[in-house]
Amino acid sequence: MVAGLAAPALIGAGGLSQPSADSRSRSTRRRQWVLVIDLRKCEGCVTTGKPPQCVEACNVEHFVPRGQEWIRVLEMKDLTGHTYFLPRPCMQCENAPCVRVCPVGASYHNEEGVVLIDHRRCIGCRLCMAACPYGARVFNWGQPENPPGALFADYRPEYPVPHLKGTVEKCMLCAHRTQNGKLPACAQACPMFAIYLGDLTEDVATNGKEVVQLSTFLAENHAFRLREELGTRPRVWYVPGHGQEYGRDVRDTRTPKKPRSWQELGATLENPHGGHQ
Amino acid sequence: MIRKVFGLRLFAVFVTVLAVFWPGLPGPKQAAHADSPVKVRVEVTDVGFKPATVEVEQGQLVELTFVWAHQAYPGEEHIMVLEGYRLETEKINAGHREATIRFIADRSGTFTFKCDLDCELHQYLQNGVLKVRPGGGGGASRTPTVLRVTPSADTTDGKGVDLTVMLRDPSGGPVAKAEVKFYLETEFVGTKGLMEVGRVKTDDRGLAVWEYRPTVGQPEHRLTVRFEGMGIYDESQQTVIIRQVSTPPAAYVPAPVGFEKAPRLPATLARGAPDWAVSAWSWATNNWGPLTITTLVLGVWAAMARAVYEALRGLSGAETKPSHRR
Amino acid sequence: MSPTEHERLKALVFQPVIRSTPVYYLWLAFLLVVFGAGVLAYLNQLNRGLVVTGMRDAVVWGLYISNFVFFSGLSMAGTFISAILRITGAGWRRPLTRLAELSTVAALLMTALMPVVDMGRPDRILNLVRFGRLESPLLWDLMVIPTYLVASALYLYLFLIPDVAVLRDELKGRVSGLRRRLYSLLALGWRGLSEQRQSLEWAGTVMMLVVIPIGVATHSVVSWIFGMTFRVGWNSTIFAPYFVVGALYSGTALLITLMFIIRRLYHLEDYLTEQHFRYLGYLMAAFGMVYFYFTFAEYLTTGYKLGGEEKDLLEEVFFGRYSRLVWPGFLAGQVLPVLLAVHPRTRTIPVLFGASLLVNVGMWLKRFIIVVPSLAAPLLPAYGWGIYIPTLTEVAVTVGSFAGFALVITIFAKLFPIVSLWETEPERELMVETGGPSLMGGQDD
Repeated sequence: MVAGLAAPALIGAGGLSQPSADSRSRSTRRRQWVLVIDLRKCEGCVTTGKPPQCVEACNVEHFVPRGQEWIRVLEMKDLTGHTYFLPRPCMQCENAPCVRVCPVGASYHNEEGVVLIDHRRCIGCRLCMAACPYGARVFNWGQPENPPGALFADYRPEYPVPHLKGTVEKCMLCAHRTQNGKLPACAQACPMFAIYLGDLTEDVATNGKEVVQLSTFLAENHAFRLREELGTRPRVWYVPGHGQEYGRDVRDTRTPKKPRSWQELGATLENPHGGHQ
Repeated sequence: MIRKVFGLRLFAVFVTVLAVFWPGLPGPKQAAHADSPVKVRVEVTDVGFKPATVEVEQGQLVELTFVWAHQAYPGEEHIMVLEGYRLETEKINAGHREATIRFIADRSGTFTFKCDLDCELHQYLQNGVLKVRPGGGGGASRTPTVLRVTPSADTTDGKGVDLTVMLRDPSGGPVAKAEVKFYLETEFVGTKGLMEVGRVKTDDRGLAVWEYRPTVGQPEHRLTVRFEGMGIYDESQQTVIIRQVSTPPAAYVPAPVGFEKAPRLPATLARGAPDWAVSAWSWATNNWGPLTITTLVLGVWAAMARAVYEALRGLSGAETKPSHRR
Repeated sequence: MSPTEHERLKALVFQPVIRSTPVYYLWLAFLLVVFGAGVLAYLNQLNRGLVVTGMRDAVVWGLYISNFVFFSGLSMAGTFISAILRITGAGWRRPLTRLAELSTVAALLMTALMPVVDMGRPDRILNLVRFGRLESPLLWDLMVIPTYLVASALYLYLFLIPDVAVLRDELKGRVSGLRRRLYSLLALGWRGLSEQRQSLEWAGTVMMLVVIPIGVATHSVVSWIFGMTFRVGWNSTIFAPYFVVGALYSGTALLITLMFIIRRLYHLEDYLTEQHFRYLGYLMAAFGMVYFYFTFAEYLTTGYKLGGEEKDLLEEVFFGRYSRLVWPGFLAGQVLPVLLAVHPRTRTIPVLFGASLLVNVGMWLKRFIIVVPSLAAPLLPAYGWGIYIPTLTEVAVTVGSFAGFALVITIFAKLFPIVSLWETEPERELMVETGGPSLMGGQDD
């Protein structure tokens, strides 16, 4: 099953995952997932009294190894001290440098545009980490702690549990959730509904509360992408803002709390989000 | 006999009272022009608006007329806009000196009216103020409107469907320059919602045509067409159903990574070529670097093999020629 | 070289092959211990994972990859110089050729070892062969480096054959039977016959020509591991030529270093003369000047524009946390040795030896400065600078790799003559010099 990857990887297509059930529910076209993060709504969860919920939800959803953050909430600051928060998942670039440089094809695109990692194939050379211009990848330097029972779980790239020593990890846009018609964990958990999951094919996006036409939403709100001058063609868009929809001022000095690991949040395989609220 | 006379007199009194008070009695709920509007005239002069501030009560029906009154600037032309209420006038100039906007001041607050054209006196015509005092006794009612939407077809096979929109008031008069929005009832990743898919503005005849180009694939496209209300006009909407016969084309197809203008297979070859060959050619043109390196490496191995062969052959095939070692 | 001189050379060069002094055994033991320590450190890393190193998510490469680049740099000059000098018929190079070729092979062995040590999953190394993708710069490394290794080993071996035959013939009873059988095997029936000579010379010429492009390819390909990314400091088109010239500089210096040591140990003062050191010194200086020019061009281009990212990197490298490594490395490694090698008063043998050591210390630091700061530099403004502090494991493996390098040379020098006797034969010298670079139609009397 794994061996057949070499040829498609050469031609640039290919993927190990099954096409998502949701992508075929209404049509034979493939979804092309994007994320749109509305920074007018993101205030770093400073008003909630909790650490950034997107990060914690991701941590428990995937049992992210301690010390890693697959989505990071960055504090962007300008010269005069004005700040805004920017959650940074993997950009799922269409022209991904990480996919291009991988010597064994362990990093690849699935048919919906998500960049996945086959941890059974990864040799841990970290060339992809050197190549990623966003620093979105993290590495299992030691033996990562897995939840009890994980060793018997069916590993698949869309849901890389158990985690393997000496392999690289990153945000998978919750391919295992979108395959089943669910929002990514970060989008689901955001209390401000700042994260939208979108589909370029059908030109729709939703944050769990409203449904918007993706192209119009991006254009009317002057959405931007990070470092797009590099030609990576990222699939994560940002609507500029500083949390003003929840009353946050650009001079607000509060910083987000440190996100907790899945161990601290008491997540288990049967109930990942259980202990966490 | 007395009762008959009394009834007659009562009737006469009743008719008299009615005749006297008839004009003042409230009629059936009608168009707001039955109420007396607040009429305000604002002159547009060489030095600015006169008056620069207008005050009305909330809920009143307002007729705001702009009067072109220049002396030293005969060529000036203006289009006035009222912010907040999002209304605009026709163009006024020396030949057409007056334009009126009519609306119900249902929102209290302070609103700016100004010239929206790039005229000579532009900077002096930016600070007109409309103050709407909150509360107010007037409860002028809005004119109801009727929105009629006619699709060009009941079905779509992915191609666009023209929706003709007609917005009229009850007397059949057009509602012009009105913004009409289109919403699609849809569900995405478990969230149901009304997704705005387009907007259009009616013309002077209250008509507009908008092409609905479906991107979402669903068997039934229920479009809600809605006018939110403007000025003196009340909101209205209509639903249109378009059935999907075949899936719409994808709104976005990811462009391939790599050179787009790289030479393709020559036409004669490409005609009969299988898919894998076309892909392989495309791969080769995009990966000319690795291919060059590979060729070099293979060349080196070939040369080495030859050298080894030659050396072995020479070393083992030494014949009886006497050694010439000195 | 007269025949008597040649006989004396033979005696000098054979001495270590036949007899082993206590110093030799001490040296060998020392190397084995250090190399063994490196192996033990690696085994610990294999068990616990790369967490035992100082590398983390920001600085994902450190000492191991610095060593990788350093060793690949060392490997260039040996075969390259040997080949270029052969082609141009420079007679003075003959005593050096085997040492040069050997240093290439030894350096390449360590070059190939370092990325394996750096891998997170070395147990999956075969995936590179099963699923290798030609688009990846690492695969180019995998194609080119083993090719270069085989080519230089073959090149070394071909010109070793006649000497091995001499060992086979003349060392009866003076070395163990096992060794004699090894020599017989490796000599491939060499009897000095003219057909054999012709074949060997032909094969040698082919190898000599082949080794030049593959050597250039090796260093270009190593540079492209970095050059094919967007990292500040790496995203530069000059990387391949830069690395190639750096390798020539570094390798020539290594040759001077080794030559000095061998000269002392083997008492070859009459054969490895001042002229050899001076000429190699000139070559080293020439490469050094070209390397300096490339460095200058690189830093001027980025330093003039001072675009955001580049400015931050240059500041940190030259005036910030890496300045203590960069300035000594630059002055002592790039500037001083060139001056010493060129100035008439300083281009003496001991000074040139010192200069060559400085060059390689400077070059090792330069490799470190190429690898680490670009990884530590923030990719987005909100990230801070990464931190990298090498651990004992990494240092042990690094030192072990140097021991491994020395070990390969030491063992070779024990088994085979370190100076090519065959090539320094007087008649052959004459033949080569009059016959020119192409040696097919050899003289036959």
